[in-house]
Amino acid sequence: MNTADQALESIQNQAEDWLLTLQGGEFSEHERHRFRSWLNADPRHQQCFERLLVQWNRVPELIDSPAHVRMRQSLRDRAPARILHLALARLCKSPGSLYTRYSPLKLSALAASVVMVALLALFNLTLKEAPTQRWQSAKGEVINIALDDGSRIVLSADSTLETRFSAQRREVALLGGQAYFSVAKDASRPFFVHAGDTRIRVVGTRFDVNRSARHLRVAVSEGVVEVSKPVTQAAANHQVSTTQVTLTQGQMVLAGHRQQDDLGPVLSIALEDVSPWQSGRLRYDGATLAEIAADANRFYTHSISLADESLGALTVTAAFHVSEIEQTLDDLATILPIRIHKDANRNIVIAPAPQSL
Amino acid sequence: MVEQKKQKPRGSQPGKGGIETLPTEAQALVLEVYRRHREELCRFAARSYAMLGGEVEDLIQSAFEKFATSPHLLAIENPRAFLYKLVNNLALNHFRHSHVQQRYAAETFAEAEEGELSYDANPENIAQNQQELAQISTRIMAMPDKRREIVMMHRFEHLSFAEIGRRLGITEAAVRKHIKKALHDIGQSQH
Repeated sequence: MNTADQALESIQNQAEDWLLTLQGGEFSEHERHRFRSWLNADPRHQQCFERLLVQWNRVPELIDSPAHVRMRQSLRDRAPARILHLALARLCKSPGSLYTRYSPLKLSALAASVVMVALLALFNLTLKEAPTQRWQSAKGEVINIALDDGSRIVLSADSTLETRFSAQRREVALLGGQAYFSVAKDASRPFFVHAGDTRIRVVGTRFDVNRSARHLRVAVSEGVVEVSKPVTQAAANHQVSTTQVTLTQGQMVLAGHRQQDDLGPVLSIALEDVSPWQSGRLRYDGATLAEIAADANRFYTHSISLADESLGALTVTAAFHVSEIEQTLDDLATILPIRIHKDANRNIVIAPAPQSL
Repeated sequence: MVEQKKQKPRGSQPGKGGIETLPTEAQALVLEVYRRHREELCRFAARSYAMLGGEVEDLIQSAFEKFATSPHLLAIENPRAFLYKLVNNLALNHFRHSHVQQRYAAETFAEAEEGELSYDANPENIAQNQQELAQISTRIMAMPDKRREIVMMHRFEHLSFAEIGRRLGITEAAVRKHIKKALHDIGQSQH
């Protein structure tokens, strides 16, 4: 670094300090005077300070931007644990007053609550180490997420996930919907995806997870993932065992959501069928109508519902673009015993066709 | 409009004379934005530019007058962010008048000196400003969690350092350290 750079850095540093003083609250007449002397001593002071002032004061323009709103939401979710943590800190600061002001009965209740608070504070500390970030897409909206470790997630429409990264592990919880993961290799920090009680362990690979109402589907387009799920066995006195499968490129597995559901058999899948929704296409080969309706519902801005649950079991082979959902359902009504009702708000209800057919 | 601006109405109505000439829809928008964001903008101006009470009132009043008389009022995508821009431009002028003895040519916001809104002067400016804002956003997102949280409390909720410290259970000095680091992060973004 040459001397000119050093001088600039020093001015930058002074500008930061002055801005801190200016915005810190008490800006005394004396300080105001000193500030003016500094500001007017050198044109570079003025330029540097004004540039910083403008940049810093533009921050509030971001107040309603979606990314910052989401960020604040995730901070708010953590707030309750922090308040308890604070309460604990205050209790610990004044131990003497506890003995003089409270009866033994009150004290034991207090002790119990202190333990409770301590546990929550501990929980909060672990959260702090690995802060949770929440991502949520609206109906019809697909979000690209670039994570700090170089991994990328494409979050499908109407889906929610949370990320929590620590020094030891990278964890993502898919709370609903569907996502495609491109995981950066890092053998020292395994990457886990949790979807309900099913866990997917990854080292570095690309795969798709779809959490629909009916089941969970994991499909791999590159590399290897390990899928495991605890199963409660009614026959063996409700013992819980873990079933596990390993999937490689071009394989998929379906898992039911119930505790007694096992992982299904490993099936082959064409690579272009792993995650076609990323280019707006939905493709099904012998899928159930329930599955298709659930997926289409996430991309269709209004609602799609089944009037009769038994209709959900009908099997369908279809391929369509997310922009053609209405047309596709109309087409399906010509080959399946269903009838499509649309209300004034474009909400769609799939009902059984009249018995006479 | 120019004459009405000189009246500088004070009190509970934004730009009183001016607003009556607006279409009903625009009037409703101005009043709604005024009701919801006036106080927050006052706190922002007072905190960010070390302004005094009376100065703040006048400045926010002028900002709302400019807002009410802007040519594409109903097309403004985010009125709240737009008002922050207006307040920033006006406050920067005010800052220069009250602290700077001799103007040296500053590259940033040179146009603001004439009291004009540099933001929407032409498409090139709009694009450049959007880019700068995106850069600031990226810098904030890249901050460690605690620093970012404190920046948000200070810049979005306009809380004092002492109040932020109280809410987070840390000292005011610790808050200052975080803000100092945040200023450093933001200041680097244009190089």
